[in-house]
Order: sequence, then C-alpha cells, then structure tokens
Amino acid sequence: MIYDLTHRTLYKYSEPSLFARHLLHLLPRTRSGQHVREACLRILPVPDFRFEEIDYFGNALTTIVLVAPHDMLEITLRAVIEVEAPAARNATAAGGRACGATAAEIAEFSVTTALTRADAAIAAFAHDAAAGRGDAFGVGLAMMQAIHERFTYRPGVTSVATTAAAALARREGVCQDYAHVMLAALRVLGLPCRYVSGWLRSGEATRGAEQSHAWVSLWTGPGRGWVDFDPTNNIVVGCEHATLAWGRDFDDVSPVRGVIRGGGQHIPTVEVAMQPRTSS
Amino acid sequence: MTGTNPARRFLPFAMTLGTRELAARKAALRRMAAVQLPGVARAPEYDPLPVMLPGGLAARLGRALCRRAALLGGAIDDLYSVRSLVAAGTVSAATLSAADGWLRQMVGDAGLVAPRLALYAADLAIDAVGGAVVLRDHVDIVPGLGHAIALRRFTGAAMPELVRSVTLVGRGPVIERWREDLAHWAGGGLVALLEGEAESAADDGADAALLARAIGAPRLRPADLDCFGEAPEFRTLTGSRPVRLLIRRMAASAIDPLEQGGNPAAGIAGVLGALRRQQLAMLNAPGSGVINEPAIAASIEVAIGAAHEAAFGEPMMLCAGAGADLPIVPLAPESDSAAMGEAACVLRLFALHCGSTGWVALPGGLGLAQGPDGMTHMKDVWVVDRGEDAEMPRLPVRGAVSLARAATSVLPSRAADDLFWLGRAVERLEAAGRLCALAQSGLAESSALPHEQFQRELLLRCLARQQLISPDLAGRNVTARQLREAIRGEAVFAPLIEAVRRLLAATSDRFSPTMLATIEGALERVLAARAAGLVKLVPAIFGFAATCAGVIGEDAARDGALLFATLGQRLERLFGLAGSFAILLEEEGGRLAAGASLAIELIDAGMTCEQRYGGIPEPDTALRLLLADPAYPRSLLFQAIALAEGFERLDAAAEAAEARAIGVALKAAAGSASPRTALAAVEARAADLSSALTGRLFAPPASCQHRDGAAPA
Repeated sequence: MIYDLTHRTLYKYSEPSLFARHLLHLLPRTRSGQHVREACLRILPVPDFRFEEIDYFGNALTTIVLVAPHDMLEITLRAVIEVEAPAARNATAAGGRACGATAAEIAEFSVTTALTRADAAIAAFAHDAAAGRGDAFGVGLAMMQAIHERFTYRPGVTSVATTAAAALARREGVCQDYAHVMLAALRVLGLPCRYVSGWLRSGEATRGAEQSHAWVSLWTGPGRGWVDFDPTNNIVVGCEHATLAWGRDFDDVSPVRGVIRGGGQHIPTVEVAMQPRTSS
Repeated sequence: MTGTNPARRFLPFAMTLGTRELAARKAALRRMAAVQLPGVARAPEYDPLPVMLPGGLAARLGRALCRRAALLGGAIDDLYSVRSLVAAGTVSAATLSAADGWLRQMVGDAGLVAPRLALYAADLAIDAVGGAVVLRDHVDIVPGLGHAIALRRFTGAAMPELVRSVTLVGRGPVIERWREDLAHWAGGGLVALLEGEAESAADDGADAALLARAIGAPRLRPADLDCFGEAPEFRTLTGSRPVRLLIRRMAASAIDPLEQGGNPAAGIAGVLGALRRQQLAMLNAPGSGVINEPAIAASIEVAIGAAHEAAFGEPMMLCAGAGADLPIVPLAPESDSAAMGEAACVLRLFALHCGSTGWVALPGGLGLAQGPDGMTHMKDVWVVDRGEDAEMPRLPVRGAVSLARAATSVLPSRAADDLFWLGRAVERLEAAGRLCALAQSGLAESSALPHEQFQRELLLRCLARQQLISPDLAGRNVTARQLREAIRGEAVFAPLIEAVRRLLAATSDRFSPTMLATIEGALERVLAARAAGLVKLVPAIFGFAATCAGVIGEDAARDGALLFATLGQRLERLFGLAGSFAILLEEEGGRLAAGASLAIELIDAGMTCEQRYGGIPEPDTALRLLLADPAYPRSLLFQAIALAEGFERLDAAAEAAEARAIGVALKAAAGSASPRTALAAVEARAADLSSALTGRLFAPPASCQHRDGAAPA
C-alpha cells in the first residue's frame, strides 16, 4: 500500500516568540515493511538554523532554531510511504536484522521509564491479562484486548505527561495512554517493547486517524520478531499504519519539543491526512 | 604508615617552628585563601603541612594513573560508540540501559572534539611500601583540581622554610601545556567553566574559582549561555561571544533541558546537539560518569585490568579496592593553645589529557585528611625531586595557539542583571523603611484634625501600594494602633530582606571579603532588629542601605558593576517615588499642600526646605523640588538624569532618550496644578524602562518548554 501523507502542525502564539529551538521527530523512518519514498518538511518561518541527525533509536531528528520574533510556526510534512502487510514484511526480513534484535535493543526496550513505571495495579493487571496466554505474541494479544476492553477512549482527559499508572487508574485516555499502559504491563512481565508513533489510514472506522497515533511494538522472539499491536483499536498492525518513530515512551519521540522565549499562550493544532495512492 | 611514612617527612622540621607558630601559619594560610576567594560561601580548610611523595613513587603512581585514565577513557568511548564491551557481555546491556548515568543522547560513532574523558582523578590509599589502592575514580566532574593547583602557592607562602628545604617537581609545565591543549580544542574560542544554576551543598565554589583563575577562564552558569546557532554563546554586555570549550562542573543529568526535560533555566538548550556536531568540547563529556555506576564499575575494573595486562604485559598497579588502611598524617594545630592533630589521609592524584601527548599526571595532588572535627583538611602533595628518580614531565610545546583569556574584565549579563536588581532591592527596602517610619510617627499621635486625617488616608494608600499593608486597610478608617500592628517589621520586611539577601549572595563575588563582610554585618543587624520593632529596625535598614551604597561605590566599581547597581537604585527610586507622589499629590488646593508636606517628609527633605525656603514651601515650590530639581538627589528629575547618563554609558540610546523624555515630562508636571496623571505615567514608564533594560542587556532565560506537537490521539 502506498500512502500520500500530510502532517501539518501549527502553533499560534498569543505574543511573539522571540527565540525558539525545537527538536522534531517528524520525518518518518524506514523500517522492515515500510519504505519512505519521499519525505519533506516545510517549515515556516524558515528556520535560521536546521540540523538533521539520527537519534539513539534510529529515528530521524531535526533541530530547528528561529532567532527572529515570530507569532506562528507551521511545520508541514509531505511524504509518500509504502507499507507492506505483515506477511510480506516477515518474508522480506527473514534472516535479516529486522526480524532480530540485538541484546542492547532488547535491554533498552525492557527498562521502565518515568511514563511507563508500573505500580501495583499495573503489575496485577499485567499478570492477570497474561495468565495462561503462552508465548509473547499470545501475551501481546491478550494484553491488547484487555486494555481495549477496560479503557474508554476519551480525548482531553489526559496529557502528554500522564503516566501509565495514572492512565490505568482512570481507565480512559487516548492512544498514548493505551500504549503506555501496555508498555508498562509488558515490561512488568519482562517483555521488551517499544512505543511507536505514526499515523493511521484516514477515513477508517478506527480511533486515532487524522491525527498523530501511537501503538506498541513487542519483541516476540526471533521467529516473528517485532510485532505491532494497536490497543486503541484492538488490532494487530497491518498495512493501515505508517511508522514515524519509536522509543521507550512518548518522551523519546515527541513530535515537537522545544524551548521558546516569549510566545505567551500557545496551543498547537495538528492535521493529518494519510490517503492510499493506489491499491496494492 | 609508620616511622618511614613519607607523609610525616616534614613533621620534625615543622615541629621546630613550634605549635604556636604552626597555628599562626595555618591561620595565615586561611587568610591567603580568603583573600583569593572573595564571595566564596565556604572557605576551604587548608592545612600548611604538606604530604611528601618521593619522586620515584610519584613517578610510578603518575604512570599508573595515566594508564588507568587511558583505559577508563577507552571504556567510556566504547560504551558510547562501538559498544564492544556490551556485545562481548563484559558490561550487561540491561545494567547499562537501566543506569541513571547512561546518556543516550551522547551515543554516536562520529566522536567528539575532545576525548570524552579528558580530566581524571583517583582517590588513593597508599601504604608504607608504596602500594596503592584506588578508593574512587573521578571520571565525571573532577573535584579538587583548583585546590591542588592553588595550594602549592599558598603552602609555599605560608611555609617558606619547608619550600627551601627541598627541590620540588614543578607543576608549571603541565599546567601550561594543558592550557595550550584547552586552547587547541577550543580552536581559539572561549574556554570557560560551567557551573550549575542552583548551588548545592556538594558544590565547591572555591575549587571552581581557583581552577578558573589558574587557566584564565570565566565561570559561567547556564543562564549566561545561549545556543542561538550551532554552539553556545556567552552573553556579555558587549555582545555574545562563542564558547568552544566548557569544563563541566554541573551534573550532566539536566544540562540540556531541550533533550533531557526539566527546568529550561537550569541548563542550556541545544548543548548536547552542539557536542554531537563537534561545535563544542566539554571536559568531561556528559555521560562519562556512567562507569561509576556500581554495577558497571565492577565490570569495567575487570575489563581494564585485562586490557592493561594485554597492553603492558604486567598487572595494573592501580586497582580499585576498599578497606585499605589510610596513612595517618599530622595536622597543624587550630589555635596557639591546641596541640598537633592527626588524621587519616586520602591522596587525590590528577591526570590531564594533553592532546597528542596523551595523559599527563599532575605532579603531586591533594591530600584529603579527615580531621577529628569532621572537616576535610586539604593538604598540598609535594613531589620531591632528587635528581635521579623524579620523572619531570617532558612536554612538547605546541605552536602559537594561545588560550583566549576571557575577560574577567567582561561583566556577564547575569552578573549585571543581579547587580541591577540588588540596586533595586536595596532601594525598595530603604523606601519601605522610610514609608513605615513616616506612617508610624505620623499616626502615632493621630488627631481628628481634617488635614491629619487626610494625610493618614494618603499614607495608607502609599503603604498598600508598596504592599506593606493589606489593600483592604487602604480604604478603611483604621486606628493608629491597628496600623502599627499592620506594619510591624517582621512580617512586612521579610520578603524585602530575603530578596536583598538572595541578590547579595548572587553578587558576592564582586566584593572583596572585607567589604562583603561589612555588608553582611549590616544586613545581620537588620535581621537582629526585626523583633525589636520599627524604632530599631528602620535605622538598621537605613544603615544597611548606606553601607551598601558605600561599599558598592568603593569596592564593586570593577567592570561596570557600580553602573548597574546604580541604575537599579535610580530606577527603583524613580518608580517608587513617582508612584507614591502620584498618590500624595493627587489633590489640588489645600489638600495638595498637605500631600506635598507629606512627600517632603517622605524623602527626608525637611532640612533642605528649611535651608532653602525657611520651612515647608508653598505647593508650587514644593513640586519643583520634588519633581524637577536636577540637583536634589531625591528629586524625580535627578533620577531621570542619572538613568539617562547611565544608559548612555551602555550605548542604550533608546533607553537614554526615554529617560530624558521622562525628565521633560517631570518638568512639565512640576508646573501643573495637578500632577497626578503625569506622575502615574512616569511610574509606568519607569517600569517599562526596567523591562527594556532587561530585554536589551540581560536576555532573560528561556521562558517555557513544551513537548507536544499535539498529543497523539
């Protein structure tokens, strides 16, 4: 499946921002089963400095610096992304690194983080959901279903700083909260897993389309490799999702983070459209 | 160590001086340090009796120290680049990932401008036969180097007899070579020490100050630096200067709020990116401390031991260990009636990475003796050159690269900011004292006379404006007793005094120890007088303000410091008096006369009026004195002129023009029947001037941090 993707982030400041330095995780990465044919970030006003790097997790990282006063910032990604169905993905990756994981990667995605620290409730939830479920893939499926059943999708009640423990206590939130709870629960069980940010095909009867989306990638062992689960929609990720970046939690892959001087109040607005170009 | 203990080598000689003289030498040593360390909160505990290391032992230790530093540096490089130690299972990937000191942002194959580990120190226990055990490695922030460098000079001056009795291996060549390498890494740019914003109990400002002085580098805090482009720049009043090398004295965990989160003002947004892109060198690199994590340290110790054997064909001389017996060293008596003391002593030896030369050990080091008083007494460590066994460092001299000495004469924006606000805070405190004193005296004998009742109302409003009483009281008919209760010193003055104290601490390095003690003594008297009521408190405040003005004028005149403190004082006086006068002079006719009389009392102009006019003048004359007398130091025009002149010295033309325009407005207001509106406008314009000055010269720290791009949904 080939998608035309547009992701537009707009900040309007109530007072001019005098200086800004931002880190952007907004250029999609290539991964097994995903080929980024084109990707271009257009930024207005044009930054005074712009640096491109690959971060610790292999994601594209863009740094922009604006030294002149500005009252808005618009960042638009236009990309063409080709996504394969998981079966094709595994076939192309057979024997390759995509189906494997280094000890360092497994260790990195096993450690807890501030946003995914488990409390007693998460530990109990994890053991309850995983009981009798067999291998890691089975546990992933069960965990995803358990979260989906117990949670109510409700935007606006949580924030980017909401922890997994807080989200589980509320049993409501958005995709980031679903993902954090699943990550925390899987890590309680010693299963390496990563937070994936990305997009969902527009127009589907799913939650999280036309916005940034997030889900979980679980290391299921050398056989299946990394398998992605979307607990918000209770689906094993197929070719309806496109990956932007991954890390241990949201903090590692926040689409835009920055330090600004001035600016007053500002609320970002995001528009996403991921339309299939042709059937494949 | 016993009778052959080299740490006791100087004891017989020193004892010939006698304990009384030794105590005097110790006091002299401390005085020397205090003079060299103005503004340092905690004076270092120095002991004049050095620890002696025979040249042969020192050479062996130095060689071993350098090897250990190289191996530890290699291990750090490995963890942050190829990670072969992880791949081989020497260091557990899980342990590394879970380590607090593991800085993912610093991982990369591209390398950095300077080695990740370029400064190293080891705390050693040395036994009687020269065997040594490493009690602790310092691979993150390396403490004590400043003391180690400076103590040689201090000890030499305090104990000249000892210096003459031996030939010491000098440190000069090593320090000079190191400075050249710092300059080389900095590419001719600025070298500076970077300290944290919030000084903690663990910080050693004296050490930082001495190190900065030794290498001719300024001490900077994150608020002094901005990453406008690729590399940090040091904000000064004369513009920004690129910084190319930072000797890190702050924790790595919050050094870059952009990448690590946390308070934006506590770090430098973009500094990690500058390091990765090789636009900046930092000693030591953030993240180097990860090998000090206990679970990792043990693995690394095994790995470097094996690497040492492989590389040099012999076991490593300096290995980590614990429980070693520490040598006992003598401590000079604390007073002329005290006896000699003794303490167990750790030796801290330092190694410096000198570019292509590699690691070089600093001859000597620092003796850290834990005294019976619980204090750590620092001793110089002398390496005695006997000609045959002391290996003098032979260091090639680099080319013509010279360290760009930063201008200790350059006043950092942060320091100017603090001085400006110190000037404002002291003036505000004094103004509050004047108002309270006036209210106290005027209302103590409150009568029912209409003009006195009116004056009480005015005073209540002035007090409320300055937040010295609750705003609720301003509109009420309170009794004199109620008012006295409301303006009792402790509660009213506490925040003002605290502000002064905080700013005084922030600017303490601008004063000599004697002058700082003078100001602090005056402030202590203010604090002591708080409980005694306004009768004693107000004179103490006036005394403090006068002391401050005198000391700043005499002692802090370096580098424009006086100018900024004066600007703060004048601006606060303009702002404060304009606001008070707008209240006192708002009426017309007879009520204007009552208000003007009060205003004259407020600025203590009674004697001037007596001399000039034979008493309180008519309102129109009073207005000219209060508002538009260019020669009277408490008139508003005087403040405006002083501000204009100050701004002109700073080339702040727009602000200078505004101050002069305020002066014109004041002259006009002095000729009007009702100056209230004009005075309120002056008050607002003064506030705007303060903002303009802050924005133009002080560059406020980053105001907020965000991480979103909108939450995923």
